[in-house]
Amino acid sequence: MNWNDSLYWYWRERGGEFFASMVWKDSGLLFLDMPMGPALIQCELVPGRSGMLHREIAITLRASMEQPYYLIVRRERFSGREDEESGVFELSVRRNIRSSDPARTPYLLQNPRLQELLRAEPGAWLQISPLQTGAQEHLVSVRKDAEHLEESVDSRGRAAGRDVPNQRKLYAESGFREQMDGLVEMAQTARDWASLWPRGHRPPDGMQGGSA
Amino acid sequence: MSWNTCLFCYAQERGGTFFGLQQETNFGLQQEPYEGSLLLEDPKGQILISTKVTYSGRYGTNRDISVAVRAALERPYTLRVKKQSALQEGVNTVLDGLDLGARILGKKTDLSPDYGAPELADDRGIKTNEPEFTRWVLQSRELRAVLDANPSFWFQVGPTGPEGLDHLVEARVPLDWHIDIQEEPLDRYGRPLKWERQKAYYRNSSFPKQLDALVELAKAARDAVTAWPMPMKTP
Repeated sequence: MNWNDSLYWYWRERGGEFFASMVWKDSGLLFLDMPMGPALIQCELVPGRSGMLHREIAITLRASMEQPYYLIVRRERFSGREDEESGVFELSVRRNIRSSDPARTPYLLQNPRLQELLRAEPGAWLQISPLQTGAQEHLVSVRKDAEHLEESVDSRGRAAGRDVPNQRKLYAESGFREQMDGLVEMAQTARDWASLWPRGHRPPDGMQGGSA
Repeated sequence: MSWNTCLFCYAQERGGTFFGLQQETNFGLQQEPYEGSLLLEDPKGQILISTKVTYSGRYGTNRDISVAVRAALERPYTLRVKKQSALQEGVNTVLDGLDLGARILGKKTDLSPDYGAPELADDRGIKTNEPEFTRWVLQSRELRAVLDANPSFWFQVGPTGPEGLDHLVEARVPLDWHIDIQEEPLDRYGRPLKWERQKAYYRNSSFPKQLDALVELAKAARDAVTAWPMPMKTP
């Protein structure tokens, strides 16, 4: 299904504020209600290395931290690789990780749920940045190349069109809900964990998830 | 100044939740390109300010500024009032002539309906699925005033999805041509200006006034489509 139709059905299930129309081709946006501020879900057109635009799914949250903090966990280098081991070292082997605070970053990435979500989405990447230089307000963003968002067809090759039951069926089969839930949870976990510990403070033993 | 910097300054003055970054490299980390959005609070529902890509190709990328609000209507309704253009004015003149000729012959064509607002319909294209209701909508004095004052502004109304009565009301203007966003201001050594000077630069620009007017258009359009009950649909 296309982005707007899929996001429409996701909104009907999860609630929030939905800004899109089925009669226009522009990508819609959804603000999901969250305890610490809304999560913005959108499909953005962004320029690639060649200058050509491509589409990315972006989940963005606001976070407040005591000091400016930058983090980029890029997408996995080797697709299809399956590691039984988990931990920050294994994560750094699979993904390029750069941050402005190398002492703090392992605490964030030790979170077992975050590791699990990152393993489930090898094509997704995570980014934390202050809104402006030196600001305490940050954006936590999880991004992924938008794929399979063209008009989907059923087994007989017919598009969903405006047929509501058919759209519901195709939406349920597309895995869109599970994918969005995973990306939103990844952004939320990263936001909660990153804003939990003041800079320079080591979390107490037993609160560090996962293995180093 | 970039769109993100302008919108960030606007958010500092008007409040709301800003989603965007300054486009720069920090600590050697190349940040991903990002178009900022702003969610403004309003008693009648949240207002979203963002940009939309309208063209992308070998000659670059064009964007519109979009101010979107939501409205609940009784049934699916679509309306698009396009921006003023000399071409549209010419086309409407030709269609008026054809209408007149058909009337003389005793036929009804309705090629160029004015929806009760001839001054709007003269040089703007208007498309709708409910002409009778649109006649009521376009009587809004506030709506006409904002459109008169801003020839490049336009708006559209459409249902959110196949079910329910939610609609999106969206006011737009091309980002590059009509809103006062310029190249990043630099000092005499070619470096970006300090933040305080950037803010002063923003205050002297027409950006806040123009964006306020676009927000007013979205609100006026929302009020216009929700001011009247929709007439009974003729079979």
